[in-house]
Amino acid sequence: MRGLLLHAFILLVTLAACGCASAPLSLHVVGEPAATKADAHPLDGARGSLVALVFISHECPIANAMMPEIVAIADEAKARGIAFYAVHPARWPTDDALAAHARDFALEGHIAVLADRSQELTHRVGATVTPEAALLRLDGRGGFERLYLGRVNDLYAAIGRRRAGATSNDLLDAMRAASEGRAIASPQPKAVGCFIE
Amino acid sequence: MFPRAAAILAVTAGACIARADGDAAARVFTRHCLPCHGTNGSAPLVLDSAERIVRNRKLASMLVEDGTMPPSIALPSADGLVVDRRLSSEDRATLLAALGAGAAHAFDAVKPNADDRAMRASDAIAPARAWTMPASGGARVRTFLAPNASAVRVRGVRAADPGARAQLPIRMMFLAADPRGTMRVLDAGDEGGFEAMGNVGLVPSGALGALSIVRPSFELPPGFCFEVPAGDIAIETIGEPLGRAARVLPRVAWIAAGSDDTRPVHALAIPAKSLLLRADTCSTIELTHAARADIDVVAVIVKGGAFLRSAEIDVRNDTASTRLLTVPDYRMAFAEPWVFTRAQRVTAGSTIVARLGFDNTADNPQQPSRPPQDVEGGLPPLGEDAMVVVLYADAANSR
Repeated sequence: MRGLLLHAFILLVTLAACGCASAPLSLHVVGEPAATKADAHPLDGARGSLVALVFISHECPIANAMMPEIVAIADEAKARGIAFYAVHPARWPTDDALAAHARDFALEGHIAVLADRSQELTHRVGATVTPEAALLRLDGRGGFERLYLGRVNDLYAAIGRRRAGATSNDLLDAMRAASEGRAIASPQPKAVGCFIE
Repeated sequence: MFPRAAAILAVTAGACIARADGDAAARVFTRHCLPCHGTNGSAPLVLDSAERIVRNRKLASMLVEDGTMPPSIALPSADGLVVDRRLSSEDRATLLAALGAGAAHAFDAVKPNADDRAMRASDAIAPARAWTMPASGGARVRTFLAPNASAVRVRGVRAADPGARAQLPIRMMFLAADPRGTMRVLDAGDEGGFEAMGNVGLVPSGALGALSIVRPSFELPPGFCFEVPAGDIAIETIGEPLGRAARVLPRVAWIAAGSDDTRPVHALAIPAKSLLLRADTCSTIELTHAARADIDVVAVIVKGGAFLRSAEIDVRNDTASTRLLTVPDYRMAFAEPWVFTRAQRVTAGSTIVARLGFDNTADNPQQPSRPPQDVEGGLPPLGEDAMVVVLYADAANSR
């Protein structure tokens, strides 16, 4: 009990000293063998660099339906020098299930997939549903300015209302604007999908 | 002493009430949600355990609260023609309270039900070859041919294994008999099926019933049957990509008719001909069919795509108009064959009138083009074919 209290005290002191924005994140890369599994640090880039995150769920049909579009956006992000991550904000799925999902939906080789089991990154960014996209400009100290938070595109207008194809590519537009120094359109459209629990 | 005993009693009573509420929530969930969201159900989201329900509770609460779930897009008529799948206000309150509390124990009684729909492969009517649906794009129509070994009299049809991986992209299926094998010439590619609707000559797809995610089992009212000949069964499917390439293989099974189910059901098609939906306009078309003899209507199937937004089916004669079906907010994802709770007599000389509302403006949430384009008759995702299929029995056969 005393040990637990001591750990809690140390944690509180650490958080107070670092501030939420620079607290280390507990994330790991999906799909790597356990022996070489690396911690991921998507917020550790250089000052001014751009990072795109798409929060996904292996169980959410809407998130899954958008995977081909998300892969295509990730490819363009790479060409523009924007780091791109897919983030599972889920506590329960096994690493094997997430790795199988990445294989199934052809994410390998296109997108770094992260498991945010503590949901710390998810909460810091403010994501509440999957799929939901965020575009961040890093401050070089582990913090960021959030430039965009909203839907990936308008493939789904609502649950059960799917278009033949997206007619509005909101994340892509935001990435292009940010990387070209233009203002990002507002209001930023809300994401439609499965709630992050 | 007394206050302590009272406190224990109060806590115990509270637990009992919570448990009773929980049991009630589990019962509501099992009756209204689990048939589709079970382990091998037709819904894309599996909610077959307390843990899965609780971790999707916000989504479930939102959809139950706004009436999206359980899906029931046809309004029940005043005299209860269509089964109303919507929750009673009491059941809705019970479910929302348990979901809001987020206590897994409230749904402890919900158990995986993998075996509910399990069946032997030999019982299924299935095409020989599957088709691979691409990972992305809009809804796709594809018709498969499956052999039916011998003539049978059936009460209905059901998806053999709606939760199977090869069934997941399928949103709807429409069946028709092709006893002479006239469509086989179309089914000659390397993959199973062909990109066309499943009408067999003048017989519309749906003449032997239809299935959907919302209604994975289709049953005629008691007393009625389909007489299914031996030969090919055309299974027209409408599917939506899952985000990954997916093997599609529709498998169905007949529901046997009872000895009293003797009135054969036929189909009449009321198609929208030469459909043209101008860009940036909403339009309503009226389709009619004049009954030449007395018939008993048992079910109606409304077929449409992204542009169809509403449907109203009436029966009119010189003196009156009777509403058979109202679908004020048509969504293909939640469409189903509407089976009437009792057959509706349409007398000779009456007219069946179907009014279909279309929206080809930017306000249509499923509008596939930006800006909207003129749309002509054709297969989805960019064309629109609309048809009303009426399933009926000759009144002369009534008892």
